[in-house]
Amino acid sequence: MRVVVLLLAGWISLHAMYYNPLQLNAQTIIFPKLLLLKKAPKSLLVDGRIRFCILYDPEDRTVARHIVARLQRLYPGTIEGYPFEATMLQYDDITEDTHVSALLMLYSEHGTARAVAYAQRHGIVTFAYDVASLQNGLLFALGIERSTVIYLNRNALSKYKIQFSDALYQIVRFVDENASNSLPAE
Amino acid sequence: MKMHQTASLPNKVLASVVLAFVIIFVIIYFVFRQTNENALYTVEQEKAQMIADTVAPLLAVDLYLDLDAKTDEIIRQLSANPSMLAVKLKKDDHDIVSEKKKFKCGNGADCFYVHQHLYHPVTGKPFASLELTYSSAHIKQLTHRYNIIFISILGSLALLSTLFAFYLRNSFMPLKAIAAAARRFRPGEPLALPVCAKKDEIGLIADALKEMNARITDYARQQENTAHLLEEEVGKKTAQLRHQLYTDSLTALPNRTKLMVDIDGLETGTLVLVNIDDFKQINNFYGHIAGDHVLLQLARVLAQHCPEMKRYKLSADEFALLHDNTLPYEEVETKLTSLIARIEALVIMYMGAELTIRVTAGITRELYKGMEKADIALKAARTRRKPFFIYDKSLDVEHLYEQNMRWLQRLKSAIDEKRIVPYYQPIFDNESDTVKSYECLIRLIEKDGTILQPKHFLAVSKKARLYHRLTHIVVEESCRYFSGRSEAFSVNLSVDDITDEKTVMFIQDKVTQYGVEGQITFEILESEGIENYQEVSEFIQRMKHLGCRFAIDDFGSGYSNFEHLLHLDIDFIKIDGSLVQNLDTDANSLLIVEAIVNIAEKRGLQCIAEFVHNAAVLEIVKRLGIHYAQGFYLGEPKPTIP
Repeated sequence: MRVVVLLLAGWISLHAMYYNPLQLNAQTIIFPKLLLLKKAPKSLLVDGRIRFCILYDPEDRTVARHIVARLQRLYPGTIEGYPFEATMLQYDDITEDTHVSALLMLYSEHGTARAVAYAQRHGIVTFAYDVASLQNGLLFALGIERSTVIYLNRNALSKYKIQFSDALYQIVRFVDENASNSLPAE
Repeated sequence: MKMHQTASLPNKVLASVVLAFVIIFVIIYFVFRQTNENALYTVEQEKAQMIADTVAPLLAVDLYLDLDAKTDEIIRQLSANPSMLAVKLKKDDHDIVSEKKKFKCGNGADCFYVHQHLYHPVTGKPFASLELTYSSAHIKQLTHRYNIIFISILGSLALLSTLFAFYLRNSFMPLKAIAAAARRFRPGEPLALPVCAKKDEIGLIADALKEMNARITDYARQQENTAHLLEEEVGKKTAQLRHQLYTDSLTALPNRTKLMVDIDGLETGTLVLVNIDDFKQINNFYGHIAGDHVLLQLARVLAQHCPEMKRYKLSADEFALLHDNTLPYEEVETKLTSLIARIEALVIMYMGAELTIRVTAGITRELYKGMEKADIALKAARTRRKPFFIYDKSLDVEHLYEQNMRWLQRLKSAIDEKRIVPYYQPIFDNESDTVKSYECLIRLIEKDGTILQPKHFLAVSKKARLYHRLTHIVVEESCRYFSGRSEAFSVNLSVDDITDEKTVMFIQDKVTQYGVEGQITFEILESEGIENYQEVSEFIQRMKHLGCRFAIDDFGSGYSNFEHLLHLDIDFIKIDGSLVQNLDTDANSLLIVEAIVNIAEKRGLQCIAEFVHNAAVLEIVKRLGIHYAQGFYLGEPKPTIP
């Protein structure tokens, strides 16, 4: 764990991109569960399992691996009774043949838009590392403030044509992707 | 003085209203309280349940997503509710995830619990529970507040009732005054009604009562006048009736009723009853007007001769004189002797005829039962053929009356119990010394077996009108006894029997019924005197036509005319026993009996001598040529014959 943290810290320092470990930890715990709050969760199954995919650019490969490893530890093979698999994929590798249940999209300067379009076309739930990414059309983000806050992109929700449990709507904080001032300050 | 108790109408109305209010109020209060408490509890429970229902999904998602901070935030917010005493969140029903307590329920805090399962957002299965402890204390506060409101309303109603009571009392006060005035009302006096200025119903009643009072007063005045007139008329009529009641219309003398009243008012005195002898003959012969004339003349004589005595006219031929002192015996005797002499010397002229009268008087010097005593004395005078008689205790009439009553009871009892029977005494033929016939003699058998002769009860039977009944018994029993026998027998009949149509028919029926026409001889009692020879002769002819024979009984003892007697179609003469029994000692009796026997022989009649009580008399009877003899010497009466 210490090694991963040191490597991650080193990698971040080289690429000038910083991923908050605390936030990543929270996201790995909450996002898969959040995914299952989708109505008719069986529709999430890809090849009989829930495939949770981390999208990354090459410079974030380590972070992606770290996240996959953590997911596999947290949910070794199943999550809430469903077969679970954590995978990783570069933004450039995503095609129409890519079949996943959800996408956790790390920072990407150029790949985000295409991935979001892909996800919206296929109704794949998307998670952003940071709240600001919601402006790119992603669905969920997680904020660690005084308490943990789940953000949901209200505008994008209709584009994904996905419905979630009613209770979820009561605990999330809705944001409008077009209204920059609706986002909390980082 | 007895208090006049009345049930006050205002009080009744008020009591009814208050009672109705109280009942309605209490019912509303209890219904409202019960309903309200239930409703409040229900509302509070629903409220708590709603809270639980609202937060349960959020808590479930937060728990599912491990958002502990959010979970705590919800729990904290729930606890902030003032009614929420405690909040407990348990996962898998035993791990307490979060808990907030302010009070413990049951420690004086009224509360209830709401338990809510939390369902797993993905699997839908319960995986946690929320337990709310909710306070219901404010329900009690609300109820207490309602109670205060109700008590305030009740107090207001009580105040209103009191005011209403005063209002009613004042409204009905004139009615009480009217009732009091009506109670004091006396006929003939004006009705003193209180001044009532009201023009409501009470005022109308007062006015109506005044009008009614005026009409009643007028009517009463008319009635009073009418009553006064009626009283006068009634007074006149009463006086007239009293006069008629106490006065004899012919002589204008006080009558018997007045005499009785006057006697009652006296303790001592002398009473004289004066009865005109044979007054009926004057009426029959000269007519009633002549009779009335005689009465008036007698009344005048009494007034002249006895001015010091009150005079009364009693029955048709009877006057009374009353003195309010007990006169000395000698004075009474002197007075009555002179009075009767004066009356007998009186010659009354009527229609050219000279009428004279005789009177008999009865006097008593005791006014207790004075009328009875004077009457007894009058009868005693008649019996003794004296012009007057003064009542004396020696007459002992009361004892006689008592004895008669006792005999009457014994006689009735004997008739009812068939103790009146015939006894049979033989009559002997003096030539053959054999029984020629039997005389049937009536006897009364007492309950103790004593045999009584008719002299004890015949007189009583005549007074009690039972004489014919006795004749019937003897005739029927004798005919029945001798029916089918060969012996002859005789039965006594009085002239009263013969003149009584029913008895005659009875005798005829029984004689023919038992077939004893040839055996029976009827002995007609001559001692009582025969007046109506025509009827007796007709009876004799009728019965002789059947085959019966007749005898004159007690011949020589009565007052009847011999010639008339002997003209009756009789077969035997039965010489009176009083003559026969003295034949051996009294020469006069012997002479009379010889004369009777001679007459009988000349008329072709046979003689029977009764009361033959010894051998000497029998010897004389046989010597005189009397055909038959009867008496105790020859044979006593027996209930049966050999």
